[in-house]
Amino acid sequence: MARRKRRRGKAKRSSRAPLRVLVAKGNDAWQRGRMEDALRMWNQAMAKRPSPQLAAALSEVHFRRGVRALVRAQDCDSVLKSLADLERVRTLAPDDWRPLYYMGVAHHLLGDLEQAQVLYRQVLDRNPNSRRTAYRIALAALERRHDPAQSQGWALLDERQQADLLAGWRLLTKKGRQAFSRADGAPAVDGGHPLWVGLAVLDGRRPDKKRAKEALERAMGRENEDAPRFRLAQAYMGALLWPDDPSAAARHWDRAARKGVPSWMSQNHAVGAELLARCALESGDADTAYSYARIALDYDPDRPVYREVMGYVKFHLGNCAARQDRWDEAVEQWTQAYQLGCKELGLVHNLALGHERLERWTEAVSAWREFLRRRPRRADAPGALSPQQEIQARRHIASLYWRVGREKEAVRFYRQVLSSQPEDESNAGLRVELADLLASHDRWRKAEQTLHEGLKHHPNHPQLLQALGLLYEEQHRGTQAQEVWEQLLEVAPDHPIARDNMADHLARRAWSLEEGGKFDQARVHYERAIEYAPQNVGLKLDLADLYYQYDKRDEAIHLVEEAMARSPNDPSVLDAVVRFWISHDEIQQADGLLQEAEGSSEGRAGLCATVGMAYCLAGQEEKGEALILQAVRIGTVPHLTAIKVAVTLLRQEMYALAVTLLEQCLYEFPGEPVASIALTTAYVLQGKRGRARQVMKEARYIARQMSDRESASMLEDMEDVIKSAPASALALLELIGQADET
Amino acid sequence: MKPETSSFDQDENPYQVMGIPFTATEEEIRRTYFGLVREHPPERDPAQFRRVRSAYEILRDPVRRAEWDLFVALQPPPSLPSRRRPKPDLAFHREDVIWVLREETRPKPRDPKGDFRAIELPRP
Repeated sequence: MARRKRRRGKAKRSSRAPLRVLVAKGNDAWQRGRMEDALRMWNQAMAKRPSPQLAAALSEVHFRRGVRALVRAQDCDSVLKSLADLERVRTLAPDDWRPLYYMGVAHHLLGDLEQAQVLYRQVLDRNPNSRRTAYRIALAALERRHDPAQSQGWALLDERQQADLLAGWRLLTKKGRQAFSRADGAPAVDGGHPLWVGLAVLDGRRPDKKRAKEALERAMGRENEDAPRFRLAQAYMGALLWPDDPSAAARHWDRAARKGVPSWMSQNHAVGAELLARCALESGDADTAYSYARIALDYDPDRPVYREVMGYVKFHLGNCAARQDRWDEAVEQWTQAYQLGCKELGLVHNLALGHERLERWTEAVSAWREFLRRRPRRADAPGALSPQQEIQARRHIASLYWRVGREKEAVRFYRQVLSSQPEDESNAGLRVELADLLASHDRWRKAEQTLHEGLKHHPNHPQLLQALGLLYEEQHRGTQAQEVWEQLLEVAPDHPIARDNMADHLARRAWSLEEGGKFDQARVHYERAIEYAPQNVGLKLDLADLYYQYDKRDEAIHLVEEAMARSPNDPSVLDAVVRFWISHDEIQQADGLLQEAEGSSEGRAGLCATVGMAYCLAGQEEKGEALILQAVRIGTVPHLTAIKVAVTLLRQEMYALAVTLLEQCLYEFPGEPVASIALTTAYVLQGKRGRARQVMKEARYIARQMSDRESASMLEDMEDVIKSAPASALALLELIGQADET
Repeated sequence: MKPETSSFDQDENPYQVMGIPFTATEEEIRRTYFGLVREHPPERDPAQFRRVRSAYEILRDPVRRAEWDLFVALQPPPSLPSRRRPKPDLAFHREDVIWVLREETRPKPRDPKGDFRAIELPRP
């Protein structure tokens, strides 16, 4: 809109401009080749003050524009535009005869031969020597099936022109060879240009193909490849070759059509292009095949044969793109091939792979389903799927459905496979997958049922038993799970999952027996559990614990040493054993173990702190302090251990040591809320309220930065508690520590 | 029909490596493998032996072979079915004579230049 306004404003300004400016501007535009602007300026000048020179200038611009449009015209609209310009010339300069010839040509092109002839004659009346006008008058006469020799200006034409026009007239009005027959009726070979001879012998019911071929070859030899006669001869040569050598014919048509041939020839071009596309495909040249298939399809986009060829070409192009890892393009080509009607199973298969590659799961699953639906059913048919492949495909479809969140369809596909081959042992994995899928959607009974169905056919299948055992474990159905594990261990005594789970069950039973004070039974259960899981240090320590409770210290030590001997360099074992000794107030044992393992354990800082804390609690503060300081020196004490030890130290009024430990902890984990609360409490207990405030401020700031609202609110609540009653804060910290431990 | 390997596959096309068709039977695979091993013994041609061996590993195992065919191999387009094609127009068209004569006398872009005149503008 703004641009239109600007243009209108500009037009208004220029219409107000003085005459000389308009003329000069028009001239400037003319010199720069901007005919539209020149016409606009000079028309305005003409409106201000008409003059013969301006009228002549305007008519010249219209003339040039009209003629240029005419010589470039490819359709009727362009010819009509050209005609409008030429008629404007006639209005501006009625005495100018130049447009008459081109107006004649325009009418000639539009098929108005009568009007064309009238205009040509007017030219000849003004310019009696115009040979081109005389030729066009004769041509128009010929087209109207009149004898061109009778047309005005015939004498102006040279011999060749006359011969051509006469040959054309004969061909148009007489039939076949008669056109060039001699007076005696014998077939003639003389017709001027060999093209006319070739065409003449082609006409009639029984064309003389041999003579036509010779004549057309001569015609092609005489002309250059761009000449219309060459192209027409080539097109007819194709027609002659087609029955015996269609490929050669198609090549002739293609070359001729690329330079321009009569419109009816487009059909042959398309037919030949389809053939050439097939040949190119067979030789593996998909790009060339595409260019030919395009010609055929452009000619008739709805013809099934052309669509089919293009479909196959796109199938090839898709494969080429996929091989070069251009999957977007590959899928695009395959999709177009499919839309063109190519429904080859291989194409659907590739589409499925392509969609998966692009992670278009929904499209992939549709393609896989179609692939499966249309697979050949007979086992010996080409492209038939093996039973193995069919199962894999269905399983794959199921997993894709699962991925896109369509569980019902996923379950249906699993069931399809299972129901088709319920007794097939190799389907056990599939049953397990289905059971997993059902269980993940809380359909426990269905999951259990699926596994039981499998066990009905294969009662001792390890994979099915394992899945059933785990399913029971997830539902906390311990007794049934234990039964399954026992069954599985009978079939596969070394099954690691079954052994671990059996050990777990026995241990749990042992704990409850231990709680009920049934020492002997508990011991038996622990021992059986250890048999199943000899690597489980926890079980051994549990049994050792039991021995302790019943004053069997030697047996306990023996078990602990056995555990240590089994994994001497395992830090988690060392940790468990040290904690075991501390829990039984055997600090010397724990310390000894720690010193022995010096340098070999990664988590030694934490252990040192824990043993140090045990010394402190046992009243041996000096030893305890030394160990805790050693812990801070050798590494970072895990923050939960640090907090727990620090709280114990605060209880023991060993404030400075607690502060050291907590400062290290906060250095590693800035703003950690529980450590911050503990350190604040320590400072308050030391009377360093300024520092306490600073720690809380920092912790709150970090919590806000991290958008950790829970920590921020806990810090705010605790600040008041610490200020008013630090002992209560300590109690709360102990509770937090215990909660964290569990 | 021989499947092509898509580039996302880490391995080479085992059928191509062994030079056997997609439809080869287990016996054919085995026979070809032993022939190739004789041709490329590991002590003389270890790289080629490894290729052949890994191709054989895939094809000898029905499950792996089925998986490869189904989830890795691109299916090549089959040969185009031969259908009844549209027939070309092989008749003689008399009007082509007019087409030739018209085409030959159609004004070319350079032709009209002789008809153009210079423009003389009114003097201010």
